[in-house]
Amino acid sequence: MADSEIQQLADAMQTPLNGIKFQSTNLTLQEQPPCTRVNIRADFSDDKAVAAIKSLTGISLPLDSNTWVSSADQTLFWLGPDELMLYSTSISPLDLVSGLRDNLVPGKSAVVDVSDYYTVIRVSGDNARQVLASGTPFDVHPKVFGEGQCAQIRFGNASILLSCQQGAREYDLQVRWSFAEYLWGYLTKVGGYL
Amino acid sequence: MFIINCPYCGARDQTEFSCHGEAHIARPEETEKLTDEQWGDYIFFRQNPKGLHYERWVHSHGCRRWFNALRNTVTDEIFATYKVGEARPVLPEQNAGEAPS
Ligand SMILES: [Zn+2]
Repeated sequence: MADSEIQQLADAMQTPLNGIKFQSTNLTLQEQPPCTRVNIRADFSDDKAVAAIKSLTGISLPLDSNTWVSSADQTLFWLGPDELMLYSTSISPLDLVSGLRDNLVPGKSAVVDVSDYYTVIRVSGDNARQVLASGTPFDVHPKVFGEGQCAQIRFGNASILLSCQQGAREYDLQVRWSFAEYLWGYLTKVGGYL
Repeated sequence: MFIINCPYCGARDQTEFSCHGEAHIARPEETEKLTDEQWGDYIFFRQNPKGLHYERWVHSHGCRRWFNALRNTVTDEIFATYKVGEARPVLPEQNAGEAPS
C-alpha cells in the first residue's frame, strides 16, 4: 500500500480526539495517529495459523501472556491464549483482513477490523507513572512492567489495553472510541494537578 | 480491595472480575427426556454453601476469559483459580465427606 493511500486513510478516519495534545509538568498526553487495527482469534497451537500470521506481519507472535512485539510497521499484542491485536501502519484494513482470512482455518478463527473501534492515547514523561497510578492499582514499576509488556486493565471506569513503550516513562493506552473522551478527561484532570 | 489471580493474566484487582455462580454444572444429555423438575433443577437450582464454593468467574476488564475459582464464601479467601476443563483443586485439609459438590 502506497504512502498516499495510508495518508488518505488517515485523513478519512477522524479520530474521536482529533489528535489532541496536552502538556503539563513532566507529562505529555497525545492521541496517536490512526492506523490499521485488526483483532485476531485463532488456535495458536496450530503451526499453520502461526506461520500464516508471521508471514503476513513479518514478526514472531507474542504468545507469552501480557507481551507485545513489533517491527517498523507492525505490532502484535497478546490479548488471550487464542487472541491477538495487530496494528499496522503499512497495510490497509481490507488487505490485512482478507490476507488473514484467506490463510486461517475458517470456522476456527475470526479476523475483525477494529481500526475505528479503538484509539490510542500516549502518556509520556517522568510523571507518566504517577498519572497511571491515579486510575489503576496495576503495578507499572519498570521492574515488573517494562518495555514489551502489555496488560488489559481497568483504568477508572474504562477498559484499556496498556502497553509499556519505554520503561517508566512512556505508555500507550488503547481505549474504545466511546470511552476516549472520558479517558482523556480523566488523564488531563490528573495531569492538571501536577 | 483484594487481588484475584487470573489463570491467564496473573494478579489483578477484583474490580476487573465478575462472578457467575456455581461451577462444574454439566448440561444434561438428552434434554428432551428430562422432566420439568429435572430441567428446572438444571436451570435454576444452585448450591449456596457457607464455606468453600467452586465458582465461575470471568476476567471482564482483562482477557475476558472464563475460569473457575475455589472461594470461601464467608471469608472471601480464594484458595485457587484454574482454567475451565481442569480438575477441581482439593484442599489438603478438606475431608472427602465435606467437599462441596
Ligand atoms: Zn485474564
